[in-house]
Amino acid sequence: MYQGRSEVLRPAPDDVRPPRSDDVNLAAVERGISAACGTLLVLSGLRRRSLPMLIGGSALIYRGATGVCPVYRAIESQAGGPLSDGLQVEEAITVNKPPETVYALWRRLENLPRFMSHIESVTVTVGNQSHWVAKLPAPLRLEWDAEIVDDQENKKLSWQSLPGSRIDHSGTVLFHFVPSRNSTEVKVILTFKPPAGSVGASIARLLNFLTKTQIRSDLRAFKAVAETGEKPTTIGQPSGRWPKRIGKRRRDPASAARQDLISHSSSSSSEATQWKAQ
Amino acid sequence: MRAVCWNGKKDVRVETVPDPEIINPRDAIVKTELTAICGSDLHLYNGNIPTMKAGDILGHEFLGEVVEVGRGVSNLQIGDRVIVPFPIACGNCYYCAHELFSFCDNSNPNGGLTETFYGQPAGGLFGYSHLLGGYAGGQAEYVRVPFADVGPVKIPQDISAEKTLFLTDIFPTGYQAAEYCGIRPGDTVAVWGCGPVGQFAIRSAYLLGAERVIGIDRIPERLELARQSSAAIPLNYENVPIAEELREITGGRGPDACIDAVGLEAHGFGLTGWYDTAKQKLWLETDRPTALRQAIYACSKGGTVSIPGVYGGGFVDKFPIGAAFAKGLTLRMGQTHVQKYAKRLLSMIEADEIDPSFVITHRLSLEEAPWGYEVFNNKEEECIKVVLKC
Repeated sequence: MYQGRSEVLRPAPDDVRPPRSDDVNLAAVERGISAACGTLLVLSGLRRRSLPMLIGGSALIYRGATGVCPVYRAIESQAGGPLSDGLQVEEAITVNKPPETVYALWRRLENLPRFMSHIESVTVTVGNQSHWVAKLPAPLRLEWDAEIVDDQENKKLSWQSLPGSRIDHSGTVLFHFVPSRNSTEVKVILTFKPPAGSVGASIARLLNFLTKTQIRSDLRAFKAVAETGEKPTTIGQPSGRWPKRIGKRRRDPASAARQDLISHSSSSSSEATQWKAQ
Repeated sequence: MRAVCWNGKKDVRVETVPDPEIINPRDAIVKTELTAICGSDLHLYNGNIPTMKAGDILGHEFLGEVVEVGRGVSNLQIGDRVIVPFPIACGNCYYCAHELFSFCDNSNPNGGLTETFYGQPAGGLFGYSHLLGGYAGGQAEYVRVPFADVGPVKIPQDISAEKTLFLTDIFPTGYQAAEYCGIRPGDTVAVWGCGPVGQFAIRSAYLLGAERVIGIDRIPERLELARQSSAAIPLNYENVPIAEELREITGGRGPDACIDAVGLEAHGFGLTGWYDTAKQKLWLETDRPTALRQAIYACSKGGTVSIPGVYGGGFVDKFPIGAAFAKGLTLRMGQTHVQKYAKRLLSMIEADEIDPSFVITHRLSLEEAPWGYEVFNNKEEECIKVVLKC
């Protein structure tokens, strides 16, 4: 995984050397078992003239002999590599809105939890500084303070955790106007690094969760909200799956309309404020 | 409410489930008046589409009355009678803004999955697997309609539901297929598959100026319907060699455009976990894109092959790229941008230029849906199109 497509998901630059594809990643016992099973498979493959068995067996023998398992390697790097390295994720998406709008949505950092699934809340404290809380299952907890270090209107936004934080986190968002589509390319670069020698449970958990796939999905959510004003979902819709909440019945249309007006007036204000650009 | 739920291969049941509610501001709830079983629902019925879950509500062709609207929907009123296009489209993304509604960037909450399979996220559809959104479908008494300010088209109360229901899918699908052919006056168009979409492709090709349209199938009643109601030239591929026959009919040139309204038993291409299973299935299915191969082979030089038939995400074996290249064919395909066509086609219905109800053979109640699926799937009782009354 460290060759080719995963370039985007790699340890932060000044970390220890990333694992290479020929690094041994199997323990001696597993190598032995692998080689033995492989030999058995090849032998019975020869007897039954089965090509798949021969191929599978050979792969196991190779794995045992070299101590290198590409599957494990792939799994490791999907999880962001060895945890102590921290990680850097880059992702990009095109939003069908001009840079002014897209920049404004990011610049208001309180908006981030609405689409960044690893962030519980961001609160602007004073000036360019803000307080961040990661979304982790209880009792894990991870908070830090950050400040905006580079702010170029409609072009670039960078933040960095303050010295002394439990996690070294930085984020950069670049906004690039695409005139032919009247759209904005948004490129996000996030780095997360635990301070040397201290991989706490919360940090490990957060880094495990932050895969390229997850950030991509978050950006898709950002795009949806920026373009449509809402996040498409099917959560809460009916199905025939257990447990069925049978008994819920439609109100008659007239009373539904009245109820609707009431519930909307109360909920709309909170949602609107959440999504206002600065 | 009562809803048609998928419970596994060839196992659909009408069950009591909770009523849908408004979830997002741009949602509306529609009380179904009439719904239908689509040929593509049979792919689900036969277990050929991945990412279905037991309990999923089926259906994507439905018409009914708006009973509730979210605060973001201002163009619909409670009591409006609407048809709802089967692709869900946000109206805001680049593709929606360019009338390519079925390519919507935002309507599929599981867009990431489709991005893995197709390189780009696919839009969401009603009742058509979790890969394509996981939305509860229209074979139910009530349906939640997301982005209701974009999709639904109001239908006058005095037009029958049967005339307008197919604006949701099969009529625009046949029409788009014919439009993709770039028909010029005097052209000959050949249509593989005389199921409901094929019937509308034949009719639309005539409406768009084709001189002759040839319908190809093996089922006598479908060929007969194409001949009777749309004046197609019927060809039964079990009785005649199609390529030779087409060459003969067209003075040796081949049809100017060919439409594949058959598709593949759409095979989804699975998650990495069951990559092998999918591959295995595909190997079993290498003979399925027969219609597409024939269409490419028969088409005239410089002609167009238009594909409304569903190809799910699998790979096609022995694709005749050599013939397509040698003849410089244009291939057009994709899910239908229903929102683009619905209003135009509605005015054609209002002007009595077409009555889409001619394809209906079975009128059942929602409760009879399982039987409808069985009959339609087995092509029993000369079944061509099943509608379900709620």
